[in-house]
Amino acid sequence: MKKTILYISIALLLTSTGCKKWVEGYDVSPNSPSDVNLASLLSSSELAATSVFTGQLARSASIFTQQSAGTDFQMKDVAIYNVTESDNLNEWQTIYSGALINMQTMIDKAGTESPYYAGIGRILKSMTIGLATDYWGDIPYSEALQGLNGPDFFNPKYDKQQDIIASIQSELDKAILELSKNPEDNKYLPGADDFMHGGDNDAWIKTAYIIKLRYTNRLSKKDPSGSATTVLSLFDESGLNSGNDLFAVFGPNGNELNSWNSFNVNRAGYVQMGKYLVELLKTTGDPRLPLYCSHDEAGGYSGTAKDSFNTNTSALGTLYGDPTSPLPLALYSEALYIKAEAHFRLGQNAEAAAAFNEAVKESIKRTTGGSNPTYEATYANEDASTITLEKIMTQKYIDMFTQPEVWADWRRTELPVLQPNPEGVLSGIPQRLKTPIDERINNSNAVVVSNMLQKVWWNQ
Amino acid sequence: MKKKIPLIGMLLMLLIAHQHLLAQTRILTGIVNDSKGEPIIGASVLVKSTTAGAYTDANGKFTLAAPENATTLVVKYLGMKNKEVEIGANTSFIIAMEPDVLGLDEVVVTALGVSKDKKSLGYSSQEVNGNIVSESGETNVIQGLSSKFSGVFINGTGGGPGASSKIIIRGPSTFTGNNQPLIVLDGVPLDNSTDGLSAGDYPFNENLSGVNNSNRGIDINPDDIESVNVLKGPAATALYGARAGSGVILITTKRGSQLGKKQVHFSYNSSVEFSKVNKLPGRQLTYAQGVGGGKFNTDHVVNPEGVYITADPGPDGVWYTDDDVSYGTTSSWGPTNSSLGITPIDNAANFFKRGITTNNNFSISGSGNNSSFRLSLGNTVDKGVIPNTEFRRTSIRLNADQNITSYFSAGASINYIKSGGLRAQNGSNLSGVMLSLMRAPSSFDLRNYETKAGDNNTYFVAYDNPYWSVYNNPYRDNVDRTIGNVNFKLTPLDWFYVTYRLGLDAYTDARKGIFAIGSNDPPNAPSGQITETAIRYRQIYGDLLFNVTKNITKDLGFTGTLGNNITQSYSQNIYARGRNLTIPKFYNLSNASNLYASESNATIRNAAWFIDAGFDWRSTVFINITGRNEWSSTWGSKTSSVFYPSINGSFVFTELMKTNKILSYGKIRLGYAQVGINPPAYSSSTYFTSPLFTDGFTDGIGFPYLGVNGYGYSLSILGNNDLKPERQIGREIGVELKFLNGRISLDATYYNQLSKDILVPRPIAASTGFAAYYSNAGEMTNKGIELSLGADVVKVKDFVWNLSGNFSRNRNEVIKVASTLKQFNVESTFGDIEPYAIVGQPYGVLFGSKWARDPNGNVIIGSNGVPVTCDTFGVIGNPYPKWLANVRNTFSYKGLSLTVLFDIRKGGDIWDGTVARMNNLGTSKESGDNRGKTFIVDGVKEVDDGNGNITYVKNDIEIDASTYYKSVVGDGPGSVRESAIFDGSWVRLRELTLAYDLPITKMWTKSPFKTITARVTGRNLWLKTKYPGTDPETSLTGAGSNVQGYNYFNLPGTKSWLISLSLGF
Repeated sequence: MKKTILYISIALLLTSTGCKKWVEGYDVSPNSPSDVNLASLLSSSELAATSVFTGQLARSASIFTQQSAGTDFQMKDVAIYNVTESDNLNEWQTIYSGALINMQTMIDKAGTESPYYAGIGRILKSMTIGLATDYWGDIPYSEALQGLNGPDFFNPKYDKQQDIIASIQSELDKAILELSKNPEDNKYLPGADDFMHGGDNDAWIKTAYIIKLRYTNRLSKKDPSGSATTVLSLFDESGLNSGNDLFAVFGPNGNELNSWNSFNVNRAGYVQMGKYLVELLKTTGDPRLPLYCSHDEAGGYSGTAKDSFNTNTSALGTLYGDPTSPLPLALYSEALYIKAEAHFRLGQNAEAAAAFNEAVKESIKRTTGGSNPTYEATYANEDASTITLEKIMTQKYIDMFTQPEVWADWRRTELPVLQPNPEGVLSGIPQRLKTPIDERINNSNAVVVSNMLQKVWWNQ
Repeated sequence: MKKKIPLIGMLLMLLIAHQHLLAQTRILTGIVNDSKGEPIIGASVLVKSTTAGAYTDANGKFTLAAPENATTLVVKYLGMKNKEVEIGANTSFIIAMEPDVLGLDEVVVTALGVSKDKKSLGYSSQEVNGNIVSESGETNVIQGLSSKFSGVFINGTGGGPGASSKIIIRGPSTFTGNNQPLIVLDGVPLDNSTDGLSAGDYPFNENLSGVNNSNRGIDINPDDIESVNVLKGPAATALYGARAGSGVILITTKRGSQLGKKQVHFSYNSSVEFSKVNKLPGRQLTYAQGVGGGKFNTDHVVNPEGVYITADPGPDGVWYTDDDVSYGTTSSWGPTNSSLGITPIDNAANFFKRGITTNNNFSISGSGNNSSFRLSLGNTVDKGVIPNTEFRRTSIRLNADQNITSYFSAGASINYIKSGGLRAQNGSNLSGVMLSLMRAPSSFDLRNYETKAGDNNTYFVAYDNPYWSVYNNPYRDNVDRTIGNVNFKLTPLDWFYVTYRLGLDAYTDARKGIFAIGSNDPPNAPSGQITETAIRYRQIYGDLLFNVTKNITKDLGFTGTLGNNITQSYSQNIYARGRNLTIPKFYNLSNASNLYASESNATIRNAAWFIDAGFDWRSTVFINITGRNEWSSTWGSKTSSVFYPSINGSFVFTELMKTNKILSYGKIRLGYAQVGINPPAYSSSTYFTSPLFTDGFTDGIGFPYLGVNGYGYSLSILGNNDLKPERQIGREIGVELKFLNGRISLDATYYNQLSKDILVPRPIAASTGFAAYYSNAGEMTNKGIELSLGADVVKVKDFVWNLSGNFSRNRNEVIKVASTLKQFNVESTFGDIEPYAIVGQPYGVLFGSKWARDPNGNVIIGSNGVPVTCDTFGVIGNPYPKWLANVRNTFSYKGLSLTVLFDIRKGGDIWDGTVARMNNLGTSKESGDNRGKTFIVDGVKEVDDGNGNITYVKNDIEIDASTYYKSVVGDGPGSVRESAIFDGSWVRLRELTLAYDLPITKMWTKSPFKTITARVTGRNLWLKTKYPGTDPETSLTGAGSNVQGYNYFNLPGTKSWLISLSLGF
């Protein structure tokens, strides 16, 4: 019996060693890399930013501001402000676990060795977190993106919006410094992996200034004169010029299609042009009308009213709605409108009018390819006595079509004057989105806000 | 390891063979009779503890060569008590056998193919004869098991030929892993996966759309099956360790007929089945396509009629060109057909056709003195009720066995299968057959499916005409599969034997999917698409078992097994896609201007050693202990090996009682065991992926992008180095009773299973930068009872009425999800309805949008007369049944038998997105019948007294039919998913079979046929259910998914008549 036990034990011991060896080395995935290069991360970051800035968040903003109309299914729900805590979860997830995580990974990986990559990463990160705080107010930032460190980092706290905006400014300052270095100071240089600016560091510096202007001017209610002064000095420092624009770029293949085009093909009849914008363009003989809108069923141009769900109206036109149309993310004209607004806030009406006139002309040039003297004679011809904030914000509203920024501007200035949808489930136009369901459930530090009429800090 | 075992085994064999070559043999002859003195044909006569043996011939006679030192003959025959005869100096024997009415000597195949006495088992296992499966008429062996067991839940997918069937034993045991049992065919694990392979850049759950794929178990020809044994709980499956957490199904194939006499046996059977759709949602044929009907007019009277709109691509017959007149509408809220002079069309009635399935099987089995074989050939062609759909299977199997010497035998099996089908687009899919068909207006005849220019002739530009879809968008799969094993048995000593088995399961599944130019799915490819996908799968399995059977004392017997097994499975999925086709109807990737490819591979290795020790005291008390120590490549590197123990016992208390007429046999059994479920491959580390960003409405943007590739994190799951397998801890107690000398039998089991360390890709807040974290966190219990009853209700001279029934009830409860997390979305579906694991609820509950309710549970109605939507989602249904039952009645009179099998499912909610959308679009029957009516939704209105105090009064707000069908019972704006949850309970006549065994040998003494059986079977002939849609035995996502209870334009179920003829000669 003792012998039997001995033999069995030896057999088991041998078997155990063999068993262990048999399974060893088969735990590494042949499907996915464990480490990647900066170029991959930059491409991923830009693609993620494209998705964030031109997807459902932009579409919702466009419907809220009545530039577009939600006419069917989920978009009809957006039109009546019936937006649930799960409706924008996908976008929230793309912001953090698709965009910011790759941007931060790229910044960390680039370190001081590859400052251009780090700088571009900071600009993209600032744009993205800025959009997130505009839509959701206080959000995770300082403790966010730490998941790799394990379960102790799974509940990031919510930072105040003012702190996030302050951080955006300092990150952009760092980015400008990094991008101002010489190419020789970089181990790796961006190139074709940078869809947006093709590795052009000067172009990125210009973009950084536009974003700085955007978030400086965002504080117009919190610090009216200080923000205006800072805007003007930043503008002077920036050296911004016509054509210093940032676009999301698209291609003709299935996974490269312009986000609006792809949506309208997949979900025909869900979103039409909004009556307010179309009428605004029609009544002023705006040359951008045929670019912004397609023909309606009657062969003309028309928009769907906010409380109608008519789908026989114009859809998005070729400028922004073709499969390969680039979509604007940061424009020189935006900087000019911000400058005009800052001057106006400081009572410098003549300078405001000049900046405004230049902004309108820049917009017409960018969209139509040239100037339009007839239109500009009426609508880009303001002076100190005729310029108003409403004119500035209305032209900016037209110029910034499809950008999430339109909604932020409207919330801040309530211009142009819009009436909420009478069919809406809320008494006003939404001021923010609900805290996403996954934050409510999975982040014990989440500060949950379900009231979409609650104003974010910069608008209080 | 892999090399050592055969080597050691061979050495051992050679050594022992050498010794035995010197041994002498002697010839023994005899006759075996029953108690009446009639010869028994086919009884096995074995020399105890050797492989030497023979079967009795047509006269009950046998001849065998026994080793010189042989002491005892063992005679066995099904239904007779085993008999042992001392050999002594005798060379000729007359052996009389006694009937075994109580089944005391019944032997069952248990884990790892080890045969054991049924009475010794301390756990529940239920066996059925293969005929019962093949005679069900089901092509898919898994579906063929339906309604034959207790505790086994089988859910078919619906009408497409070759569609998968899901099987769950004793309730779901894991959250996201495989809840289906391991299938073991002749001792070797068989892949039964259902692979809905999709592109690497496809962001959604591929099971929600596409075609219904097969579960790979469908490759097994039911006609080859000798028996199916269901090992239900961990106690029965303990020796399979981390592959047995969801139960095990042992399938044994038919082998060659009896050793010992040269004979050849042929059998042929042929059947033809005619099937048709058994149930569809009701359609309205009154109102035409259009919008605006069913609304209040200015006088607050409902005007049933709306404005007619239909699609018109203009004179050129091509969509998306400048002359397009109208894109049409999805709505059927137009004027009456009669007002337009349109003869209404019931498109659904036109569309479905009669399905025909033919099934032919031929087999030869034969034997010589020391060898036997069975060769079978089977062919099935199933042409479905949906035009241009089919499933085909051709199977060739050879099983061969050889006694090389009296102590060494070998066997081999080889099975080649060619299977595959032509499948229809299903589910949430713009080319989906049911989607377009059930939304089609009665004013539009779908039959003319192409415009003059060859474009999609459809009522709404974004949907494919279903005829277009089935004829122009074919999806074919083509499987080549080889399953085989070799096994050796060496019996060097009368109390010791060694077996070695090596098995292979390898297949390739090549699929080609086509979307013609002009199709609407995939939405990003209006210029057509070709997909070529290839799945390669290969599993190698080997086990080595040392078995000991020895009496320790006169009263105490011992059986022991020491063994080792290793498994390697390799799978590779390659997907290639071409879009933007240049030449119409030419389907080669070279015709595409946009190409994409992706690949994924996985190699998983497992190894284990195990011990199984059984003690038997006077055939009265049995104790069995097992242990398995296991290693796997899918665990985190911090987990080295895992041990799974089990203990079970049985007590045949009637052995200690005086023989009595009432209770003839009684046994109590108890079992405790632990088994596991492995984590998926490569979840112990965090990886970068090629990201894809989508907005939930389109296929999104992804790489390669503008010619550049990219890698990054994208909703990535954090790997975990501490991962270990999930653990199922099973406890069960059972009793087996036989009354009146076996005429009535009862088997009852209570089980309590705890699943712990359930792998949860625990969702974490996206603000961490990641989507989820793999952790062994979840806990869930399944508690239930299983009852099986068998009785010969009437048993007179030639007539027997046998009744057998099964009842089972399982209560599942999620105990824990993950630390503070209380709910978890187990598989992503439609957002506002999702399957969840929620603490305190059964697994898989439907969680979605619902109406707001007052404190008394009444629905709160808004000022517009429509219920108010609740701010948060909640549990709106449990898709798993409360209990299952089946009752089989068999009436036999001489050669004639009638079998009636009823199947009852109680509970099991289904979300019917089909009916909800049909209401919304006005194509449902109800929405047509009631179009002129007003509705007051049952509920309460809120009254605010001005001080913030809210009281509730009964709702009295009238709404029009349009609002009611769109927003209250439809899925239009303001609606909730809750309103489309229905009870899926049913009672159905699952099988009705009339069979006649022609007494051919009596009628015609020189007949070349030994048996002729004619059979007529009805499948699903009668179904009673309150469920409004298709047959409630349906599944959107098929067996490859843990989603249960979804019907979103699922293909319908069928009923059928089947005629078959079997010949034996």
